[in-house]
Amino acid sequence: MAIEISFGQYLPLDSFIHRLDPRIKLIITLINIITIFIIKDFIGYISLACFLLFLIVSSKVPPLYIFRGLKPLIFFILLTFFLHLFTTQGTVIFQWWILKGTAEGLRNGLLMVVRFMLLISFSTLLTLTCSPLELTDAMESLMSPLKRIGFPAHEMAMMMSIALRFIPVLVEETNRIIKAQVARGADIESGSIINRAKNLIPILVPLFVNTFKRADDLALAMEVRCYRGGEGRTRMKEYVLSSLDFLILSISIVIAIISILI
Amino acid sequence: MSIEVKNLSFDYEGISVLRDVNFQIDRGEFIGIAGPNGSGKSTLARCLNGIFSPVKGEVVVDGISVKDTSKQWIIRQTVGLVFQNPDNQLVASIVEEDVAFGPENLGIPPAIIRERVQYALERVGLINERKRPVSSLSGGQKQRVAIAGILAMRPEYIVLDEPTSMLDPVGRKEVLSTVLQLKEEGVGIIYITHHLEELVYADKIILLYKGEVFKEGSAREILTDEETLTRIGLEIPEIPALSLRLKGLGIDFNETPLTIEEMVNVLFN
Ligand SMILES: Nc1ncnc2c1ncn2[C@@H]1O[C@H](COP(=O)(O)OP(=O)(O)OP(=O)(O)O)[C@@H](O)[C@H]1O
Ligand SMILES: [Mg+2]
Repeated sequence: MAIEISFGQYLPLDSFIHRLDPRIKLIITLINIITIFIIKDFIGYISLACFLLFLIVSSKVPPLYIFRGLKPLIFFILLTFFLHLFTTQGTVIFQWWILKGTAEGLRNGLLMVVRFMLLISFSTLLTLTCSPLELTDAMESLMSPLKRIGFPAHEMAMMMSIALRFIPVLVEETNRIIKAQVARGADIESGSIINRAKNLIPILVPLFVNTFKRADDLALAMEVRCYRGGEGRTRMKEYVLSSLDFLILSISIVIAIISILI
Repeated sequence: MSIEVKNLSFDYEGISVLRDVNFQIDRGEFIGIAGPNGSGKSTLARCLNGIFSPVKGEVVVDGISVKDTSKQWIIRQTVGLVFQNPDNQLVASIVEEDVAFGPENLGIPPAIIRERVQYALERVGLINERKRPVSSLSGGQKQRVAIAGILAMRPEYIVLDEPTSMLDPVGRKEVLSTVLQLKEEGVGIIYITHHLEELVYADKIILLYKGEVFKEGSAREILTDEETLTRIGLEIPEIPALSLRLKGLGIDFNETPLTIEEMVNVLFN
C-alpha cells in the first residue's frame, strides 16, 4: 500500500498560458467556477467547455494530465449521477428493481457530471500551469487588500506554500513508516473497519511526532534566514500585468456572460 | 573581523549546557567542533548567531555583541546556520525559490535577489538545477541548496551543524568540498561533526565534552591524540589510526599523515 498524490503537479512548459500573470489565472479560474454554478442549461456549458479546450490546447498541457486530475473523482461523479437519476421525481423512463430512472433525473445527473468535470478540469489546469509559489503569491496579492481589516493574507499564503512543500516529504515518510510497521508484522489492510482504523495508530503516531519535530526544525531554519513575517519582505519574482493578461481576462468575462445568458 | 566567543555559558532553565567556552574564528578560517552526543555542540551553534543569548560571557560578531537585539538581523545575516536534516530546512518547493527566501526576508530589491540566487547556486554547483522541485534532489544536493540559501544572504561566517550526518558517502563528499571551497573564498567556517575524518583540513579543532572545551588544537594534534578521543567517546579516523600503528612499528614521521595523499607521499618519497 503506497500513497500517491498527483494533484497540484506543476508542469513547467513554455506557453503563453504559463506566462500569464498567476493572479489573472486565478481570477479567470474563479470566474469560471462561479459561472459553472450559475449556469442551468447545457448550452452554457458548451461554450464554457470550448473555452476550456482553447485554454488546454494553448497551454500545451497534454490532455492526459487533465484526465489524471479527474480520475480519482470518477467514483464520486458517478455516484452523484446515479443519485440524481434515481431520486429526482418526474416521468419514469425505465425501471430496474425498485429504482426508477426519470427523464428529469437523467438531465440533472448529466448536468452534475458536466459541472464536476468542468470544475475539476479548470482547477487542474490552473495547478498545472502555475507553480505552487506563483499560486500562493497570487493568493497573497489578491487577498492583501483584506490586510487592512486584519486578515492575515501573508501568513495564509506562507502556510499554503509550506504545506505544498511538505506534501511530498510527508507522503514519503508515511510510506516509509507503513513499510517499517509491515516489516514488524503489522497488518494494515485486512480486518473489520474498526480493526483497520486501530491499525492506523502505529502509523499516525510516529507521523505526528516526526511532523512536530519537522515543524520545530523548519521554524528555526526560517528564523536563521531572517524570516520576520510579511512586513518589509520583498519577492524575487515580480509580477507585471501585460496587455495579454487583460485581453485573456476580458475574453474570459465575455465568455462567462455569454454562457450565463444563452 | 572575527567571531569572538568569550567565557560563554548557557543553560536551559537552570540546567547548565555550556560552561566557559572560549575561542575565536576569523574570516576564511575553518574550525571543526566535535564532541559526543549531548556535549552542547548544537547549543553552541545557536549561540553564535544570537538565536540563543549567552547567560554569561559574550559572543561578538565583527564587533557587535549578539546580545544587542537591535542588531539581531545583521548578526543572523552575517552568521548563517545550516542544519542536519536537509528536508526540514528548505522552505520553498523549487530550488531557486528556496535560495531566494533569505534575501527576500532581508527586503532586497528583486533584481539583486536574482543576482544573488544565481551567484549562490553557482557557488554550490547547482545552477542547472535551479528550476527543479527540491523533492526530486538527492540528500547531498538538498544540503547544498540549504548552503546556497545561506550564501545568498552574503554571510561572512557559516556554521554547519552536522550537515552530513544524514547523507550517503557521495553526498558527504559533495557537501564537504563545497564547504572547503567557501573557506578558500574567505568565508569563516564552523563545522560541527561526528565524523572526525571530515576535519582533516580544519585550521583548528575544538573538542567539546559535557559543555566544556575539553581540548583544542591543530587538526594534526587532535586527530592523532587517540587517548583523548577515546576518552570522550569519539573514534579516531582511519588514516591517523594507521599512522599511529605505523609509528608503533617504528616508522618515523615528521608530521603524522592525516590523509591518504599525505600517507602516500610520506611512505613513497
Ligand atoms: N530545548 C532544550 N531544553 C532543555 N535541554 C536541552 C534542550 N536542547 C538540548 N538540551 C540539552 O542540552 C544538552 C546539549 O544539547 P545539544 O543539542 O547542544 O548537544 P549536541 O552536542 O548537539 O548533541 P548531538 O550530538 O546529539 O547533536 C543535552 O544534554 C540536551 O539534553
Ligand atoms: Mg546537535
